[in-house]
Amino acid sequence: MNQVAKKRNRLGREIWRHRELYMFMLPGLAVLIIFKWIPVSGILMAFQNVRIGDPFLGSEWVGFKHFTRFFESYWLPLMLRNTAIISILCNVCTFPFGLTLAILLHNSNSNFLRKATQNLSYIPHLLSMVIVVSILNLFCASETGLINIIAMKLGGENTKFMQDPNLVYFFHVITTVWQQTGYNAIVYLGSLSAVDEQQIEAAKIDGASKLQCILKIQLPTILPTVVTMLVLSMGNMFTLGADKGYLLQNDLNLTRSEIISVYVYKTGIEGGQYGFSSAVGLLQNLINLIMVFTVNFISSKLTDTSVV
Amino acid sequence: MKVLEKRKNKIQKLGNDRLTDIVINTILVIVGICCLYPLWYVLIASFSDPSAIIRGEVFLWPVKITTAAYEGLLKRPEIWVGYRNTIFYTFFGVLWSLFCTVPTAYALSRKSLPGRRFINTIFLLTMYIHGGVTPTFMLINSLGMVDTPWALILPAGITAYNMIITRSFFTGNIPEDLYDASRIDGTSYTGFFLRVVLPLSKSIIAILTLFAFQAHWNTYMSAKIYIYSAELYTLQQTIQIIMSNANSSLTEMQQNDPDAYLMKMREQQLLKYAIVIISIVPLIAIYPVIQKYLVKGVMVGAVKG
Repeated sequence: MNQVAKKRNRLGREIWRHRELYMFMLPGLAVLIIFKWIPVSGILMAFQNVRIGDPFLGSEWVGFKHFTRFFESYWLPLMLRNTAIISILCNVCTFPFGLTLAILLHNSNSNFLRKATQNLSYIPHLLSMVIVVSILNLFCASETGLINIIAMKLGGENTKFMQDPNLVYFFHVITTVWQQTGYNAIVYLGSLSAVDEQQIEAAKIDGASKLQCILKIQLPTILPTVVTMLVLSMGNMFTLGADKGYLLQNDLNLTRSEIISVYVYKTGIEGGQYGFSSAVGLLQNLINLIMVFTVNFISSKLTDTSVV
Repeated sequence: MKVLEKRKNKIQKLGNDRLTDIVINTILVIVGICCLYPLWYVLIASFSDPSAIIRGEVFLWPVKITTAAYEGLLKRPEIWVGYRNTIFYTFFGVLWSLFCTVPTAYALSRKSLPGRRFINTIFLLTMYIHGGVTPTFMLINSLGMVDTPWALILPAGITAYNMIITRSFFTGNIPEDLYDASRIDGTSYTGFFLRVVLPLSKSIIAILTLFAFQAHWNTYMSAKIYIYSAELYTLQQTIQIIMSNANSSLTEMQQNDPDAYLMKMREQQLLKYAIVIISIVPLIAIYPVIQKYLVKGVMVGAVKG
């Protein structure tokens, strides 16, 4: 028997020896291939004129028609601007809140307060987008909402906040901060617990105040984690999900609330323009992919840690 | 003199630290209030008299306690249909996702498995490459699963993130020698997995359960994409419909009778407060369990990242 055949035989034996483990993977792999990878081949729909009832991928080819239509669309610049601004604002604003909360929690001298605040701070994270936006709607409702009630008590006017295009970005940011701050703090708390306590004790004996310990010992120690988290969130820049955008949208605030993922849903699933919507979705995915790899490239240069 | 000065410094330093402590604790109290108050307000508003809310009397405690809103909810069967459906989807969704994720992650954590790197890679890639909403919809449509519970349960069986954290749990906690040791006794992989691995993985199973539970309980967009029949609506869908419909049905009444309109509007507003409370009660009820594993879950993910 020659070497190659021997090697192949050994591989075959190895695979046979692990046959049970391959069986273990059957359900997981099946879901992965059917529901994650087959839809990837569906990006070909971006070049087809898809109608409901056509076999999967078996529609008429139309080339780049959908893309040219999208590039000529009135909504394109608006959507790109809104998507970019909302995701950047949400990332930039949640990050310092989570970090600050973690530092405060770590340095509080009251055990009760630390436990209580930390536990309360996760609650918003558990709520669904529907509930969060509902609460926002209830608070901002005209005449019956708490904010208007207070405003009118103070002699102000009744305002229809939800229909104001200028407030859309703010609503995105405030709900994200409310939901994510406590959750994001967890990671920083984890890395804060790795701070060398002896170093802090030594600094205190030398006369360092608590504030100095925070700024000069704790912050530098967790800096790598902070950078990694920041980089990770940058990579997710254009993945702004459709849920919140869809729920916050109404006919009067469209100029500020139209974002790519919601547009994909509205044109495709609601509007039945499957080919066109696939084309827009494909473009969004491409932007995402470029963002992730650019950010990863930069971070590997900066911190020697590759995220992807 | 020097000693005195040193002492003075020390006292000043202690004073500074006390100030720092006060600032820290005050901010923590404020953060706690910010997290809780919106929910607290919704709760007390749902029990208060609607006119008292409008007059601005309700801030900290319910005023003129009434359970009218909850009685109104009892008369809306669609909420209970939504509840039933969500419980059903969540229960089977969680089971299905454990069934898909845990054995796969265990197999992929074994270093001797041929082809392990390739399969890991095709999992990892799905974090960055997606087919997108529309192609996925067309696939599920051609499988005949649109407007059936399958569309919400089956595709959510495994995510790259869950698989990776489970796999790294197994790599870190179930040493390879353990299997080799039990193999001498003639145990198969299946027996080993069921009798040794599963009992050792309670914490990761709890974390996966939590993630899947939260995902299924809160899912809105996929339900909106795939579910069209009212009797299959999820709770989130029902809430959203009630929240947005209530206003539009009022516009006709508004022209006929402003007083009745106002009264009706207040009642509906009250109903909305109550719906929010009703839908988050289960989450709050199991919150002590959730928060324990939430922290663990994040840390497992962070170590990987």
